[in-house]
Amino acid sequence: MWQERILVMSKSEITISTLKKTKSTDVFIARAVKPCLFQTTLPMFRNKTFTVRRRFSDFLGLYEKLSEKHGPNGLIVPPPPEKSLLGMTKMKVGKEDSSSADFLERRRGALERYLQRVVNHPMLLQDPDVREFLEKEELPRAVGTQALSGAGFLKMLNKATDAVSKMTIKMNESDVWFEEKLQEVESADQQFRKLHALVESLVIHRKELSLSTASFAKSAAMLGSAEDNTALSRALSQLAEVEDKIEQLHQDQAANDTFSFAELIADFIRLLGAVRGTFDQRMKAWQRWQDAQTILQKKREMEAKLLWANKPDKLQLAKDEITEWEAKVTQYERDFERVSATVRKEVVRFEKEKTKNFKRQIIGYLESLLQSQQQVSLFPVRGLHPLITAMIFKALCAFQHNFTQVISICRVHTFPGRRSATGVKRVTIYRGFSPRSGTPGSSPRLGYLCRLSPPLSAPLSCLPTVEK
Amino acid sequence: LRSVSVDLNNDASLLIDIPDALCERDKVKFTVHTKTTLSSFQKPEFSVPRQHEDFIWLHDTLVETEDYAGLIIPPAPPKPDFESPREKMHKLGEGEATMTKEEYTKMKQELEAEYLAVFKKTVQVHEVFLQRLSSHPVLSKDRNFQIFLEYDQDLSVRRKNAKEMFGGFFKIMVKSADEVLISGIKEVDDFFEQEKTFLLDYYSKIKDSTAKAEKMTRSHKNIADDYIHISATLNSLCAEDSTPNKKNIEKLSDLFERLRKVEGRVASDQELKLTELLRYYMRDIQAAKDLLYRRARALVDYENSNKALDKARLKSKDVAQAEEHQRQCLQKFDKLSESAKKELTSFKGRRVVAFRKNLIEMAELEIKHAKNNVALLQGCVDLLKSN
Repeated sequence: MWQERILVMSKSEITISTLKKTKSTDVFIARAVKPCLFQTTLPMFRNKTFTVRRRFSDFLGLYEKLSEKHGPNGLIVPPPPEKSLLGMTKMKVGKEDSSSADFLERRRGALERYLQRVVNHPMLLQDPDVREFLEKEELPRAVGTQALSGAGFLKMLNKATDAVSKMTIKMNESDVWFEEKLQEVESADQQFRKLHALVESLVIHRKELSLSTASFAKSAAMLGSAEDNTALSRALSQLAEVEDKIEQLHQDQAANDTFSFAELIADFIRLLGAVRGTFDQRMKAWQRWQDAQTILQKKREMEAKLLWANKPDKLQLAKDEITEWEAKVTQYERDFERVSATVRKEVVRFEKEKTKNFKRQIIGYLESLLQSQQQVSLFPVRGLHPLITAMIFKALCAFQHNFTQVISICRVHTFPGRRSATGVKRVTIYRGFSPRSGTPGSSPRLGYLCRLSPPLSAPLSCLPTVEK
Repeated sequence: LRSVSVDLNNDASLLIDIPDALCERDKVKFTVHTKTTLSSFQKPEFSVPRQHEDFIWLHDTLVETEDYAGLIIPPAPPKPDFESPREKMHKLGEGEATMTKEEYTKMKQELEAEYLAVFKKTVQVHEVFLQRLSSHPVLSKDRNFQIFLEYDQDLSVRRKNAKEMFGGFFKIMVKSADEVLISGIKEVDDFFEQEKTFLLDYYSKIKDSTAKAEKMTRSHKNIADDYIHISATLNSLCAEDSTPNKKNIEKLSDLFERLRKVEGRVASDQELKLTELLRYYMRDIQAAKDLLYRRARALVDYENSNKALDKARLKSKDVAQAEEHQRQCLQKFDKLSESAKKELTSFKGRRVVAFRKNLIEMAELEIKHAKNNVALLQGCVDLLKSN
């Protein structure tokens, strides 16, 4: 029955896009208010498309409510992005620079994905809190979240998981599936954190590349203006322009790395944390059951003692308590099994979602990488090349008389030259080098052959033949 | 691989190349191989081992030869500098514990390639130095040059001893005074006036461009290294994944591995075609500037001799001597100017052609690499979509 519902939901999508952020004019607290656009074809909503304004604390409030309600049942409640003291301070100060724009964009994307995950979950979608969040015009300000600073929030999560993990050592795992899955989740968490750090480093390097390309472009432009050969001067200025455009591409690429790759990984790490959370909830349920059993045991022992000591009034009390606790034990055992089943279903669903999302997101990332590379492959052809060709002829005409020899530098294979009939040595040169084999520990040895090109009395033949 | 067909000069009277080089810790030993039809040499073909210091000695000897004052002496090859790859190798060793075995091997390979590239570059630069000498009508006949090529024993006895080194230092000091001199001098000849302005300006600009190009190349290399680490981490992820997602991660890891190779090539091609080009001509322009300094000094000598002649005439003492001195100075200056004009003009042409060649090649290589990247990315996207 649950499977059915999933199918129904996926056909009628809810797409959420958080639109641009605007700062509220609240004098006391400048919080970024995000207009969220929801599009849906589900019958349960009044309108097809609607927009509401939500504060960041509203998102956090939603999470709080949902995790309180559904967490203990073993549902994987999607986590929102953390509050960031640094980011918000920058915004409050009113700094208008690329880093705060960056921060806003990251947050916007993360919130969007968060909401999308919430509505994709068939059970959470039914939750009235979620409906209210999506539809209601004005939400009462979520008070409890004010205490949730970025660091505080994480600390809270960590403390909770720590406390439960201390319990897990004692758990008698009857189902090895859970043990394996938890192991997988934990190692995946480790690897993804590593990957995230690496992608962030890639972003930094790409930004560096973009900066150094820009400064090179300026330098090349200056060199071009100093150049007295007009054709070369034009070519150098053209090179500067091309490098300028390439710099823009690198910047775009860095942004792409951030929002389509790094951020997604960060998201996934948070989600893995939530998955760990459900395992912990299951542990909690088990612990409750075990504790109840221990108490029941104690009660029974007490009853036995009382029987032996022959205290009839206290005996009745003891018997009542035993009945109570027997019921509790049964209840908790059933709870535990229910939670285990839910967790299992949730993890299966999570894995399916993971595969689908990963593929889609990676394709998105690669396609934008593709786009920028395609642009690079077009630039030089359009800009630089024909100008250089024009340069050739001009330069040749100007310097024909004064030329004696030009020495060219190439990396070549050592090649026996073939003597043609006219006595002119023709040597074919390959770019590359052949390392001569030596003993494993020997230093590299290289083959080189120099060649001198002829005087410009035969201009065109000295032009290298170029592969298109 | 690309092939370029070129017609060689008929005049193969003196062919020099460095077919072999050995790198031992800090010292590089070059094998200089000469093939000649000139009778001034004892044998038609021979090889000698030479060290970097020998090249420097040859260069400095040529610079100090009065007869060559009117020529652009090809710039001395820079010292082989393995500092950068060695430092990286050291850092890699320290970080070995945090990497997977595969990752470490790949990083090591990258570093070895970098080391090799530095090595290739230094051989190339030394070879070019000799080839420029051999193709110069005057310098190729220099006696010291012949000794360098032929003398089959250690040249170190002929190299700079302490006294000469001090002399060299003094010369450098004088040179900076020359900079002031050259900018202050009143130039009669338009050609030289233009050249001076142009070269001084161009030198500072090309120095700046060289530095900026170096930075660009280094950033490219950093990105290539990042790709290695990302690919390795994805590999680890893939190994532990039991879901159908495993295949997707595998493809992505493979892609990054290939991308980093292309990125590495982009970096090294840019280095060779652009950075090296700029670096080399920066040094060459310095050599041209040195020529201008020498001419300026000759001009100053001539002007001083004029003043001395006037003084002698006033005092009516040693007039004949002063006249002779003045005549000699003028002759020297004229000869220098004539030769300098020829040299500077041919230098211009040489520079433009080299820029043209290298810039074309760089542009073509960048296009090729971008196309490669496109193909790789498209291939991966298609694979992922088809799954």
